[in-house]
Amino acid sequence: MAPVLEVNELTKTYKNGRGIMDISFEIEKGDIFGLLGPNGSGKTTTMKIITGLSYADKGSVQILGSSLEESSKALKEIGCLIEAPAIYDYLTARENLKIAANYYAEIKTPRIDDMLTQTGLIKYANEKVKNFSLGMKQRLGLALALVSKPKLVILDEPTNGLDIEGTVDIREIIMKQAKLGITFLVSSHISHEIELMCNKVGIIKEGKLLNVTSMKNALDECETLEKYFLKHVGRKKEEV
Amino acid sequence: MNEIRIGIINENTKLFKRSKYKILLICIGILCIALGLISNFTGGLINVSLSNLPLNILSILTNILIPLIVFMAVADLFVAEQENGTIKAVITRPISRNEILISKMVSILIYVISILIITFIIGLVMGIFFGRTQVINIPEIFIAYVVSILPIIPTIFLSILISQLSKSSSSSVMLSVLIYIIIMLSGIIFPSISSMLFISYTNWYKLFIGAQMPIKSILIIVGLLMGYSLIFFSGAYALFEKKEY
Repeated sequence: MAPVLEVNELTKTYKNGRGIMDISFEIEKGDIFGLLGPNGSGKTTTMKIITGLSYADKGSVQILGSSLEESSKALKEIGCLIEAPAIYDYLTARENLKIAANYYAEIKTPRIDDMLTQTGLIKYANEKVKNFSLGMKQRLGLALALVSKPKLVILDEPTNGLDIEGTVDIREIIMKQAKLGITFLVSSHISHEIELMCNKVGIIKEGKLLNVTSMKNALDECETLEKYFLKHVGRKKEEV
Repeated sequence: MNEIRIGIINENTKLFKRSKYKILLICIGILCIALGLISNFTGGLINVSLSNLPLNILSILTNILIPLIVFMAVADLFVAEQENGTIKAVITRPISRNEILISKMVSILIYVISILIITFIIGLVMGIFFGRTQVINIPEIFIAYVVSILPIIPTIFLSILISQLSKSSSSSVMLSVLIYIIIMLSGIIFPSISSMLFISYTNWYKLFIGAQMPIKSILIIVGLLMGYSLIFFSGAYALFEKKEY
């Protein structure tokens, strides 16, 4: 069976010399793949290229066997939350979801209500988003990523800026959706987050993917993901 | 085609749900009523007599107000969405970039058409109510409003092109206004090139309401306006397609 996501030798260099170099990995159906790396390591750049927000200098992206370069239809299989949630704050939560759902003929109102319920926003469905807290906006961002029933969901630092309760809620939603067969690519600079959520992990630093392994292997090798990360980026914990 | 249709529905929702665009429609309606009342009770202002109120309003709209509204709407639907990141909500959906560009352009045009419909109705009602507009003139006025849509199209594409070169929505509006004024002034300073400028045809509806319709001139102007639209669209599309977010 073809992998849900296949990234081959993705390379992009910005004017300041930073970027990503020869990033290659695959994600199988039902995986929660964590991309772990410090700020500026190339996580967002990789995700932006996969979602068509940015272009690679070299390399290719295949989503369920379809090339992103060849057709925007490949985007039909993707839901994403890149950096901050892309939300129109002068619209209500329901209107934001409706706008997103319009692009998919098969998505009807019950699905919108279902996503609002799952993310705990049903009570605020008809409130303008400008009055939402950061956590509520993040939940709505997740609902927007999931509303189209995508096969692959790409989340860039989904718990960024959230309190403990919000972080746990987002994590639980992701894990619940993964059990339903949705594949996730999640980035974070917090090893604990990735450790709790993902079954596979890729370590990225300075634009290079240093290592890809299963979470089980990483924890068998180093006890915690933090130690595994430090080992593979070549630093000792005391130096951090 | 279906993606463009959905894009237009979404972009129109975004445009019409914003308070400022609702207020703008109301303000233009009030302006029309005020012009009608003033010209009725003062026996006609300079260039604003009640007998041809709908056409006078049309001139004010096509020469001043609509270009300004277009520049503002383009800045909101293109540059402001880039600034606040909401453009990602469209780019990451199964719709190509040229479909996005066309749907945004069409929704701006729909907003402009809604302004024209409101002003046409108000102007006409006031003219008839005060007994200065003849019912026999209504088809002529209607044609004038319909054909006025065409010269707006290159203005929208020019503004989209400028927006793709702008870093912020305010600079997009300012640059659009500046370039529009420069083109307008160049037509006044150099009358020989005036006939080649698309801005010169904002009042081209006058060709349709005369005793004889100059078909040849109309066809030449249509070709010119379409040519300008195509050039501006191509430039805007090339820049929009390359853009990274």
